[in-house]
Amino acid sequence: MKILRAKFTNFRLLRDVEIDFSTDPAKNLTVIRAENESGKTTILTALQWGLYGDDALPGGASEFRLHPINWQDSNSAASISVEIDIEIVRERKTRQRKSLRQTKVYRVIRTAFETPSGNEWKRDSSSVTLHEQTDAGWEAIRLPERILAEELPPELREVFFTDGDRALSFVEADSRASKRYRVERSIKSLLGLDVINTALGHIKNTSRKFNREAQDAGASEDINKVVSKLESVASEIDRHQGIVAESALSVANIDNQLSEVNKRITEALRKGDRTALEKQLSRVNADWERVRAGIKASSDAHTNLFKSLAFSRDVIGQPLTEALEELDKLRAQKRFPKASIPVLEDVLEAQECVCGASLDPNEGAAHSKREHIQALIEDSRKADELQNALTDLYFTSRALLETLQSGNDSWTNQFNKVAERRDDLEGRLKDLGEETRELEAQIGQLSDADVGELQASQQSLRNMRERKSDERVRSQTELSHLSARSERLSRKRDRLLREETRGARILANLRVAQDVESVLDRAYSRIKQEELVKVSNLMNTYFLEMIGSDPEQSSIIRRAEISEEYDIVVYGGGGRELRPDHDINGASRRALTLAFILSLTKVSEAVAPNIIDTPLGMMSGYVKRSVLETASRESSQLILFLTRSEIAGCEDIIDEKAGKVFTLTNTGHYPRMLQYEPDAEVSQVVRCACDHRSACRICQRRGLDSAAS
Amino acid sequence: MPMSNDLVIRILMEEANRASQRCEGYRDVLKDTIGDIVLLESQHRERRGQIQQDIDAKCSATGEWLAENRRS
Repeated sequence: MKILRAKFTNFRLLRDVEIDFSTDPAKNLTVIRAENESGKTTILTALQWGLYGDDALPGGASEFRLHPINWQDSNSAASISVEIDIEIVRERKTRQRKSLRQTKVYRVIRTAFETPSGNEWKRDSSSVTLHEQTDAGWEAIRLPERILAEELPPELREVFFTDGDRALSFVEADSRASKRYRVERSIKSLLGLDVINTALGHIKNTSRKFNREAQDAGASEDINKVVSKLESVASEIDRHQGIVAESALSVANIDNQLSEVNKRITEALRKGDRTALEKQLSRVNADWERVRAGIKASSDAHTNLFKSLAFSRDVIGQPLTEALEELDKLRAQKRFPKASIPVLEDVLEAQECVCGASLDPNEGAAHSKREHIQALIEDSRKADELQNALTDLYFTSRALLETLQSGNDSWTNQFNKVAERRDDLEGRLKDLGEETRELEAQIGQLSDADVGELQASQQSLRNMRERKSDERVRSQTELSHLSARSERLSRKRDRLLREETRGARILANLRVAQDVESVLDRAYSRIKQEELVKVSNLMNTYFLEMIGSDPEQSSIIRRAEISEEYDIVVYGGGGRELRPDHDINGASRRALTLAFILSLTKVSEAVAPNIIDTPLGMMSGYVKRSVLETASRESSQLILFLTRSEIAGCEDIIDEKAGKVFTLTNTGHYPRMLQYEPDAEVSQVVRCACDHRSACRICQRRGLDSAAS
Repeated sequence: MPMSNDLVIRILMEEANRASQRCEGYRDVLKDTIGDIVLLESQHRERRGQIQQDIDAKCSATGEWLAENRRS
């Protein structure tokens, strides 16, 4: 399908605007240049309303005003219409069963009447007519909605009509499930999986019908029995297929939830697991107490070291040894111990000297001798006190030295050991203090996410997944038994039918239904497996080309793919998954969306327009040019609404690719933004023929365009 | 239904070529039947009540053709 022309009447700012689109395969791009509030989004909405009806209006039909806001006559109804000419290639069968392709042009006209009433309005449902262009003119076609729905499936509206924000719903949505649903719906519809699936349902019903016919045909008792059994087996097969499909869906959903829970656990654990952190803090506190006790013990050991023998030995050992050597010498000289005092006292008591002289105190001559001896005794007594001290010192020191010499480790060594251990413990205590503070800070920063609860929920999901997987496996096993039984029964039924003439016809019907079912089944699997991979690979190629990523180099984004579960996934270096809605920038997100839309359209071999509002909005430089080049190359008809800033830097590409370029201007922008006063009496959007390089008195904007041509 | 059913038709026809040739010309007739069913599906999206009867009739017609051609 291609859009040839569109005419808008009284649709909001589009009071009377007509646009023709390029259909030239060599220049398939149509550029509609327009600034903000100049009708870009309004035209996109009007086209969708024209083709898809009231359901396509933003926010629901009842909320969306259609008539111009500055409608002059507040009492008269505004007649709103959108007229769209489309070209459709239709296929029909000739009488000889040959396929013939015919290109037909249709005109779709959707109209509505809206009566303003203050700030409100009244509007009935819109109506649509469809006319086919013939040699005789435009001929009305019956059932226009049905033909439009066939050619423009509503589920593909987001694929072909893309505004900047809505386009991102494929990669950026409130939940993974809704993104997946949108991607899956588009793929299934555009690749034809849904039509095959529906046909499969119908053909199974046809088989059942033929089976019943065999039963109702009044065939033999044997056939009736076999057919009844087949019916029952078919019902069981349906039931188990339902279980397999349901459990597969459940497993996929559980995987989705598990993935979310795992992420939350990882995130929470990155910040810290409260329970584990508290346990760790408790261990650190216990360690701290133990180390502090160790330091106290070391301190006591330190003190005790000053009272130890080792301290004495190291402090007085050397001088004591030297003193003993001197004492030894004195002892050898018999300088101590001495015993002369008792002899002298005996002499004085006997009053006679050893030499025989009288020491009688009554004799005058003896008196001085006695005084001399008395003086000697006193002197000796003093000398003996010293000798006694020396003697005591000698023997005590000797004993002491022997004791000291018995120790192996020096006091200094012991002191160093204690000091080293104490330093060690104090360092450890400091580390433990820091560790405590860090742990307390981490616990303080913990979110409310309870890792324990998340882990419990993770476990519960894993259990559920296991149950569902078991359920699926059981049903798959049962299915395989049932299929074998069904085949046996079918063979028996066929044999019995063959034996009866009237059964031959029913048997042939059944054969055809089986063959059709088998072909549909294989085609479904093949499209799902092979074509989905093609879409995925092509999307990756377009995407990397658009953003200029080289997987061989150190690009942040290395690969994009569509998973079997219909998720669009982006990978960075090392195969790390990047979440499109968080980990890649806005320009890349838009490029990814466009790459998905283009690849899906391409692989499905659909001929359909891509109508995109402000696609280059968040892009610049290489990415902007590359997106424009890729999109115009890969689309069968590309219609872009671009602002002047989006066009800037891409003029040469538009020169080459665009078959039609024109400009829309909102006359209400005069005088602030427009250079020249417009002719229009009321604000509205007007079209001029100016392309991306020119400006005229209608569209020239202050500060943006050069002099009007 | 895809806006172009070329892809679906091409793959269905390729798969139909693998079907058993129950009698001469059977595969071609089967291909036509499948092509017709796909067209019916696309045309009858809005008329679900009718499509089952139409598909039954298509298969029945092909079955009749098969029965007659096997007899001959």
